[in-house]
Amino acid sequence: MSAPLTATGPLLRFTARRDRIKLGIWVGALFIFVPYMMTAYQTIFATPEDLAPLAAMLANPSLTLFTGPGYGLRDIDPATLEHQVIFASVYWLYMLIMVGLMNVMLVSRHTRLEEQTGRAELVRAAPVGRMAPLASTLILALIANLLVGGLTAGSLIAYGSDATSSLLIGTATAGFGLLFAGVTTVTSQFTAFSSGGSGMAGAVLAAAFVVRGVGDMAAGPDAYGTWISWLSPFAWAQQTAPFVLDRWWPAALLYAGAAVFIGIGVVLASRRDLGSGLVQPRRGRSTAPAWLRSPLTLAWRIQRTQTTWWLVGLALAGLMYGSFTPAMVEGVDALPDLFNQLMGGVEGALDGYLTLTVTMMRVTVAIYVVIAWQRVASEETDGRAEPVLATDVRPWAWLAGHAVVIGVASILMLLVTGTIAGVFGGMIDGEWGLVPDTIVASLAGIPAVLVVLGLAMALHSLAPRLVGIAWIPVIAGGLIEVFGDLMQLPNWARQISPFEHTPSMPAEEFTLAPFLVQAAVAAALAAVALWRIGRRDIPGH
Amino acid sequence: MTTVIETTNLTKTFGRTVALDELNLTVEAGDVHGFLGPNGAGKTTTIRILLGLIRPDSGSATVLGGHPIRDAVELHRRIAYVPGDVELWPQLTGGEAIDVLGRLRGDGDRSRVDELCERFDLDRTKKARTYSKGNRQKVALIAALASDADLFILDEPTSGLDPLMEAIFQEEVRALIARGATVLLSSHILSQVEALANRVSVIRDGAIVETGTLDEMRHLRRTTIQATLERPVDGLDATPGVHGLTLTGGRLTMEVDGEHIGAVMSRLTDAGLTSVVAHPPTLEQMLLRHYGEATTR
Ligand SMILES: Nc1ncnc2c1ncn2[C@@H]1O[C@H](COP(=O)(O)OP(=O)(O)O)[C@@H](O)[C@H]1O
Ligand SMILES: [Mg+2]
Repeated sequence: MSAPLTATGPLLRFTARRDRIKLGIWVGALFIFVPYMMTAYQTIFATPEDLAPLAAMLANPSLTLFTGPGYGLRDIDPATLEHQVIFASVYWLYMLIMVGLMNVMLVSRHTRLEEQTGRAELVRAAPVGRMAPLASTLILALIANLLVGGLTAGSLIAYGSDATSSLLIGTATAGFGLLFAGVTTVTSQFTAFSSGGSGMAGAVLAAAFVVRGVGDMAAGPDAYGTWISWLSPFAWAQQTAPFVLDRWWPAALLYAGAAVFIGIGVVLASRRDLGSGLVQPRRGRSTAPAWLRSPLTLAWRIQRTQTTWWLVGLALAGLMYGSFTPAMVEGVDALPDLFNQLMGGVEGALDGYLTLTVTMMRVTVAIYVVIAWQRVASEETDGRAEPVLATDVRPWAWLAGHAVVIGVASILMLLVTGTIAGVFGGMIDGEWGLVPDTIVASLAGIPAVLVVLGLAMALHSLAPRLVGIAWIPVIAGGLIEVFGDLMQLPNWARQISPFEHTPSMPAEEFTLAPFLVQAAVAAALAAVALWRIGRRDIPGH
Repeated sequence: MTTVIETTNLTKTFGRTVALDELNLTVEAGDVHGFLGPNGAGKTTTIRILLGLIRPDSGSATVLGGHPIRDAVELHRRIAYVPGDVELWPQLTGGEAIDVLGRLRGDGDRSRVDELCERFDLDRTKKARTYSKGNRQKVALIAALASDADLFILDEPTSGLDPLMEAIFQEEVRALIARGATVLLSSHILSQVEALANRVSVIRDGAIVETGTLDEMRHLRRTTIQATLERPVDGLDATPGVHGLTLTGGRLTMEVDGEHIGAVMSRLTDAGLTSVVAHPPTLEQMLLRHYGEATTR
C-alpha cells in the first residue's frame, strides 16, 4: 500500500520556493494593513470625540453591508472608544476579503493550474503520493495564514490593543483563510481548468459577503446579526466580536468548516483522474459561427465570457451601492470635516456619496481593463496569438481588435453603473435631475479608464510580460481616491492616479480641458502601441 | 521471461469518447516494446493508466508485478516516464527542473546528468519559459535517462527532436536495454520504432490490433514484388495471396501475402524469371492496411 502523502515534504519546499515572491507580496501587503490603518486613524481621529460620529454613522443598519454586525459601534462611550475597535468592526472585513482571495489563488495555482498545464503529471509520475501535491499546497496555505494571523495580532498588540482580543482577530483571520483554502480545494475538483475552480471559489466569497451583509442588515439596530448572517463564514469571524465579547467559539466554526471542506475536497480528488474534472467538458459546435471572421470578432469571442460576468457583477455592485444611498446621506453630516472630505469634500452629502460611488466604479472598471488585458497578454505568451498572426492579420489589427472590445465594454460598464447609481440617488428626494448628472459623471471617467487601457496596450507592445505594471496606477489610484485626503498626500503624488485628472463629478463641475487632455494621452498611448507592436518580435512558444 | 506490463480488457471512456476498448497489452522484460498507433488511438491514455494517474472504467493492469494505483509510489521508484507533451515550470531553469525531478525520484546522479546534458546539447541555464518543445522534451528525457529505473515509459519521446538528437536517443535506449531495463516506446513515427523495437503492438481505436516481433508481423504482411518474365503467366491474379497485379512495359508489380510467397515465386520461376525486386513490408504499409480500413469514429 502506497502512502498517499509520500514526498509531501520535498514538494512543500519546492512549492514554497517557487511561490516565495508572490506569496511574500500577499503576506507583506496584509501585514502592513493594520499598522497603516492604525496610524492613519490615530492621525485623523486624534480624540475619541472625533471618532464617535464616525462610529455612529457606521452603526447605521443600512451600512452594515460594508462593515459588520455592529459590535463596538453602538452605545458608544466616547471616553473609552479606541481605534482598534473601529478596525475590528469595520476594516477587518476588507482584510478578510483579501485573505480569502489570497487562499483562493494560492490553492488554485498550486493544484489545478499544475494539473491543467501537465506539470503535475511529471511530478506524480515520480515516487510521489497521490495526495502529496494537495497536502503540500494546504500546508503552505496554513503557514501563510498563520503568518498573516500572527502578524496581524502582533501589530494590534504593538499598537496597544488588548492581547486576547488581538489574538482572537489573528486566529479568526487565519481560520477564515484556511476555510477558503478548503473551499477552493472543493471547487477545483469540478472542472479541468484553474479559472473555473478559482472563479467558483471567488463567487462563494462574494456570496458569503452579500449573505452576511443582508443577514446583519435584517437584524436592525437592536440585534447583532440574524440566522441568515450565520450562513456566511464572514459572520463566523466577525461574530467573535473582538474587544467587545471576545467569543472564541465562532472562530472554531471557521476551523471546523475548513476541515470539512478539505475533507470533501480530498474525497472528491481521490475519485477523479489526474488532470480531469468531475464534470466532463461539454462538446461545442463543430464549426465557427459565420460572424467569427475578423480580429475584432475573435477578440470578442475570447473576451466574451469574462466581460459578461464583469458587467453582471458591476450592475449588482451598482444596485448595492445605490440601495445604501439614503443611509449614507443621513449619516455623513455628523462626521468630522476631514472624513467629510472623503465624501467629495462638499457640503451635499448626496453629491458626495454619488461621487464616491462613481469613483469606485471608475476604479473597478479600470481593474477590469487590466485583467482583460492580461488575458490578451497570455494570448501571446501562451502562443495562441502566433497562429492568428501567421495569417494575414497584422499585429496592430490583432491588438486593436482586443482594444476595441475592452474599450467598448468598459464604456458600457460605466454607463450601466452610472445609470443605476443615478436612479437610486434620484429616488431620495425626487431630484430626477440627478439621473442624467450621475450618468454624465460616470461617463466623464471614460478617459481615465482609457488611459489605463492605453497604458496596458503600450506595455504590451514593449513585451507582453510587462502588462502587469499597469496594476500600479490602478491600485495606487484607487488608494489615493479613497484615502488620499486622509493620507494628506502632496499634490504631485496624487497625480499618479489616473482618476485625479478628471473632475470628481457630480460634486465638482465638469471641465472639458482635462477630459480632452486625458483622452489625448490615451489615444497617444494606443497609437504608440499599434505602431510598436508590428516592429517587435512575437515571442515563440 | 518475466512480464513487466500486462493489461487485461482495459476500458476507459471520457464522456462519450471511448478512449480504450478492451485493450490487452503485454510487455516482456528486456524488450524495447514499440507501442504504435495514430493520433487519438489511446496510447497516452494507456500509459497514464499504467502510471496510476487515471483509473480504468473496467479491466486491470499490472506493472512490475504491482497495482498501478495501490502500489504507485513503490512502482514509480522503478519507473521513469517521459510525457508526450512536456510542460515545465516557466520560472525554473532547465537544470533546476532536471534536479527537482531527480530529487523527487531520490536517485539524482550528478555526473550522469552532466554527461546527458552534454550529449543532448542542452543549455541548462536558460529559463524553461524560453525553451522550445524539443528542449522541454530533452529536460524530461535527461531526467528519465539519468535514473536507474527498471522500466522506461516513453510517450512519443522524440517528436520534438532533430535527427541528430534522435540518433543519440537511440544509442541511449540501446544502453538501457544492455543494462537489463525494459522500454515501452509509444510512437506514431514508424522509423523510430523500427530502429529500436524488437516487439511491437499496434493500437487502433483503443484496442490492440496486432502484436508480435517485427519479423512475425512481416510474415503476416504483404511483400511487394516487381518481376520481369520471359513468358506470360495465366491466371496469376487469381492465385491465392496475390493482390493488385499490374503490368507496365513487360514489368509485373504485385503484392503477395507472406504465407503464399513461396508458391507465387515458383510460378514466376517457371515462366522464366529474368529480374525480380522484392520490398519487405514497411510498418507504413501495415498501418495503412489497418487504418485504411478504420471506420471513422
Ligand atoms: N481527458 C480527456 N478528456 C476527454 N477525452 C480524452 C481525454 N484524454 C484522451 N481523450 C480522448 O481519448 C482518445 C485517446 O487519446 P490519447 O490516449 O491521448 O491518444 P494518443 O496518445 O494515442 O494520441 C482521443 O480520442 C482523445 O480525444
Ligand atoms: Mg498521445
